[in-house]
Amino acid sequence: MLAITKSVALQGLDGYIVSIQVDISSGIPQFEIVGLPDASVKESKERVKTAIRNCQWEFLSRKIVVNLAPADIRKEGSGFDLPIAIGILVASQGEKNDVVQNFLENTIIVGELSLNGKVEKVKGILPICVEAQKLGYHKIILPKENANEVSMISGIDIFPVSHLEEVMEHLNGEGILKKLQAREVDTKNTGVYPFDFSEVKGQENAKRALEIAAAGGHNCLLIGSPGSGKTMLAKRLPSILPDMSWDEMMEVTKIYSIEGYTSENKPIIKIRPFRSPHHTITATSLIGGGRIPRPGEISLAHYGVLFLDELPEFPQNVLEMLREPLEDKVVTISRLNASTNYPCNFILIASMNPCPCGYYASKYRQCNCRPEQIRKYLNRISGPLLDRIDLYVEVAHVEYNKLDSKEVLETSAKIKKRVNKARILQRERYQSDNIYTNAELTPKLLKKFCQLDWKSKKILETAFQKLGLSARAYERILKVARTIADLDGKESIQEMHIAEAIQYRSLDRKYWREES
Amino acid sequence: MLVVWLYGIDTSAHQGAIEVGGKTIAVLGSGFDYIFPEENKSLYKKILQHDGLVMTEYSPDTKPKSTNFLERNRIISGISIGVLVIESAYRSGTSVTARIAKKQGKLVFALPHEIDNKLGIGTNRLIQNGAILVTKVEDIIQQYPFLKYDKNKEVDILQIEKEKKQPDKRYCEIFNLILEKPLSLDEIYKKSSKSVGEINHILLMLELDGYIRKTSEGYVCI
Ligand SMILES: [Zn+2]
Repeated sequence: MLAITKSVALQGLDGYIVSIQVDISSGIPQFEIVGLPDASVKESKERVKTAIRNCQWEFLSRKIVVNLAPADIRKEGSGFDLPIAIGILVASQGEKNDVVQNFLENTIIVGELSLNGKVEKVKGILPICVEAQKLGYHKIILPKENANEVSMISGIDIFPVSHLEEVMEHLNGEGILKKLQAREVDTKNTGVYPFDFSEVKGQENAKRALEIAAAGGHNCLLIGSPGSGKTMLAKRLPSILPDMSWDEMMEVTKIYSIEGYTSENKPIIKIRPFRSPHHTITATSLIGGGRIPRPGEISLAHYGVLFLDELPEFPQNVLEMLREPLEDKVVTISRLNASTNYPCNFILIASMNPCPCGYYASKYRQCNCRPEQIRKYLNRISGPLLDRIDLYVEVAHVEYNKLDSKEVLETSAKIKKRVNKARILQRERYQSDNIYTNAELTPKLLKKFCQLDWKSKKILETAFQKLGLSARAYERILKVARTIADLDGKESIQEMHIAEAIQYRSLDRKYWREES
Repeated sequence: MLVVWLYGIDTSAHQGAIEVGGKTIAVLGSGFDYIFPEENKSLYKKILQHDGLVMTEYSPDTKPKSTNFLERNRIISGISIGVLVIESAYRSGTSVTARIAKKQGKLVFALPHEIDNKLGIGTNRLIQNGAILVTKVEDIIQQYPFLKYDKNKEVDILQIEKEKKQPDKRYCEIFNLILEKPLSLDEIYKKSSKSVGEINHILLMLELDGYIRKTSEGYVCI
């Protein structure tokens, strides 16, 4: 007897229909599953067999072959337990009526089985559910514990189940599965970010730079002595980024769902992520990958902020791997028979000390580094990576009496308003250019949208001569000036915009490397 | 004819002479093939363009040596009618040159300095030893009856300095703050009425115009 059930496999965030074909025939009793990775097969076999027996059904002593097709799609995870078990039970019952046939053909089934037949939750339920709907399916059976994470999805009937028996009773006409009530999701009410710029006293220069970074989507390097507040500043960047759109929330939540970071209580990621991996992180955990490709920190920072504290401490090879994802906003993990994509559109904020001892330019401690030591330290970060950082910002210690002052500090909400305005200008300007922010401007688009008047040109020329700016600074300055002009509500870049932008290239300037 | 020569500030002296329409002579401590430092090449060109003179007693292939500079100073004082010492630290080469000038029968002038100024130790001592104390141009002119001095044509050096040091009006507020003491951007923000963006703009303009410089201590006036 043959029975076929349907499920969904994920490759990155994309879903593929998996057809689970169960054939039971007379012959030497055996149980084979083909089309799953070895390790998963063994585990799945045990769970399915035991679950069926523990539910008082007979696990037939026949030749049982389960084939998961197509074979060339990588299938991982435990979500195929349930469709396999159902396939076996249906096949062992012999004749199927049309209703059952029809139901199985049109229903996606996902769920892990525990040994007593209970249906356990699986990772990645959101993308699975969304993809099932996209692939034209109108019904999905999934673990009850996952239900909350998909309740906002419309266009597909969701049947949450907590036990294998519920499904079988439904198929045998002894019970009816209850459809999940679609839940209205309050998309307006986005989450509240736990940190606010009004908690940061002083640091006006750094705050302004981060406002520019937020407005134009620019990557930013904070340079300052230990304890000057670099982490405190970086942590607050998401609080001034525009609120996430529904689509953005869904995309981020999908990634978190795959990693199992969503739950009944936290079904949707509503605030922009802030990820801060330690410098001991492996390339795989940062970029994504592994035997079974999984998203890395850069994808968990999607639509949010990736903060790399102490940038020069990160191994060279790890930093090198950041270059492509920074450019492409997507990371491709290639495996022998398939490649997996995860989105990774994040703002990079990196921090570093100004020199090996950390106290170059500090008013509080003497820096003992020799110029060549400083140069060597700065050179640890490769040029190509620096090329992808638009803003270099010096962060200085705030004196105690300034911390003590009672001035009213600007809230993140207020800064965010300005950021939003600048973003709207950019979106309108780049409507037909397939980009959203100034940071994404290509050399060709730079020429089109960052025209300079003669005064600004003169300033830029003089700056290159007198400050010894390196060549890589040029495009970065134009992009940042564009954003400053947008914050200023000006359609053309003016003198003061270009002048301010030049100030955020401190690492490119001569004095840093030559004097001390 | 104005001859200026003190190493260290000789560039500004030459510049000053050219700016007020005077003529100036530069005496090198090396051969013409070894002009040092490199930037001086353009300065010497300028001197020649303004009917000045660049001379040396060394053959073209002589490399610059510190002893050469002391030697050439005897030529400078030799072709001058007098020597004005602006700054001179204790036991510096300048003091030696002043002594040579005196031997050559030239008048030695010196600018007085505050007593705790290291660069004034030498000049103050010169004054003690009979150099003519100078506070204004007349102090020098008076000593040479053959010099015609047109008061109306007097160029107030200090005024020129002041004008030169006065940046664009829009930048003055910030400039004056830095004039008091070196400041970081955040410190300037505290003291001024401007936004960070505006301050950054102004600081860059001041720096490009050569009024201030960014150092590890913050922004300082040059
Ligand atoms: Zn140091």
